[in-house]
Amino acid sequence: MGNSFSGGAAIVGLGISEVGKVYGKSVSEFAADAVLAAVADAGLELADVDGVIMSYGVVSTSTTVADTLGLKDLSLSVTMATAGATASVAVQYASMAVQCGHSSTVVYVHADCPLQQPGASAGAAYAGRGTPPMGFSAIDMALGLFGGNPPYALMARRHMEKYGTTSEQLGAIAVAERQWAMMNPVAQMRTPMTIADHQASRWICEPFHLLDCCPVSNGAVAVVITTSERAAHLPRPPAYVLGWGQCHPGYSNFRGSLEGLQSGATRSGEQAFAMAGITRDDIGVREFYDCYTFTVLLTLEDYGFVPKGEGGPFAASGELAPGGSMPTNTGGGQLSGFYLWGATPLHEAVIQCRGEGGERQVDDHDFVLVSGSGGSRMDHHATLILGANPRT
Amino acid sequence: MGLPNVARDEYSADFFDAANKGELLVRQCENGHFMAPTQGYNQPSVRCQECHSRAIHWAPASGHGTLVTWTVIHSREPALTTQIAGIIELEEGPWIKALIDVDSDVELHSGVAMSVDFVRTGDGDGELIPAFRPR
Repeated sequence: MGNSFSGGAAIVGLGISEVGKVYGKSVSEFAADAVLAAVADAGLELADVDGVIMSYGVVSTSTTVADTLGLKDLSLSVTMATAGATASVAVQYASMAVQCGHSSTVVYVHADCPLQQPGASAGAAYAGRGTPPMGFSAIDMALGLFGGNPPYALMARRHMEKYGTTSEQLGAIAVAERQWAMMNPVAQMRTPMTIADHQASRWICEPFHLLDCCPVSNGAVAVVITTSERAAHLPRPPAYVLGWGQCHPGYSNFRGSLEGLQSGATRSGEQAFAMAGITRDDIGVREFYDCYTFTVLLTLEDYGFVPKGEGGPFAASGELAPGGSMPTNTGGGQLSGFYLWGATPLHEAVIQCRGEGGERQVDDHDFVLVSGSGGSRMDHHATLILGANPRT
Repeated sequence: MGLPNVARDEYSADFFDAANKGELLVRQCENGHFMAPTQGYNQPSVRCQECHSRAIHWAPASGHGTLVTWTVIHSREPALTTQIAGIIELEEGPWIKALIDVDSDVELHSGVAMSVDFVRTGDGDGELIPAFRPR
């Protein structure tokens, strides 16, 4: 039995802009495209929206999407920042806002455009801007510990050392997601990939090959959240927000830190399952945050889908891939789909929950788990459990 | 190929002065609790996480520790060599990020005992930073 807020809100609209190597648009334009698409998908008018939540990408804007679209008299207009966890976090606060009557209809949007011109690396945008760092930050720069790749490589290596996880096992995650992506018309990378391809891809920072890392995308995703009562009168199949959780583990740079070995998914997941009144065995579809192959492996373990330390062999068994017992990142995730932070798993979760995944649709989609994970040490974790059916 | 230049700021000045004398400093509060030089995203350690004391000072560490994890960083520019950066857990408890200075044929493992040395950054005018070698 879940708590009384379980299922009281629903995602009723989903919108996505052009995504990928798309140029010539600002963050605000991408955001506006996605919001308009989501509101139209929900069968609503823009004037019905009285709350807006945005998240920061790499390229943020001082102009909110509310300004771009000329929204008036909002009851909620806020930018949230828990990195990759923000999408799931935002849906949680939106669900609270509509259930307590603070707002009636809330749009959450994530927009980003780190790719500024054809051929340019987004590394510069991700590695940081402005004046050269000094002191301890300068030591990090000298060591090469800047951008997203090295901190995740450090965490992955720690897991490999403790549990015997191998690069080939990480590669199996990339291969499984590519197989899903090949069935997703929105995915950026849809050519077949093998473990050998993964192993042959160039080193970024060991233990990560290129194909352990997600690409970078321009674009935006938006969702519309309202009460389940209102959802019943709207045209699209609601994705009921049945459960949620968060955990911000607080890793100290000190003896005993579990950085790289255990993420916030453990506590966040327990909270979400309890709220929804279900167990992990009820979950039919998993949409995990996967900026790197490693985060999928750790998340799988920390939610308890596999015992701690057994994520590697499990991934290698192919169970995450199409036809496997544990369909995971069914749109290709960030690794092969597109990289819009926590909005990537959220987007595919809504599609699966609605049963609109086409040839990649998972039959058992009554309960879809979405995870967000963010920060250079996985400082933030958030979980959503979406349901295809209202609470009974 | 040298390491990119490291310049001190006010917070790190004592750390780099000690490095010039071959001494590794960490943070310690008035109640004896050790801390890493920084927390989170390189925020100075200004409050004890254990007792929340504000009386924090720099304190010498033995310079001995064990390897927690490491990464071999590959550059897209062929002229730059790969280098190994890692996290060391010092005997006193703090974690410190440092250069891992081993020959390419040495196989690293978590838990390997290591000791600090210091290497010059920049073209001879940068600060000395910690580099750990197997003990």
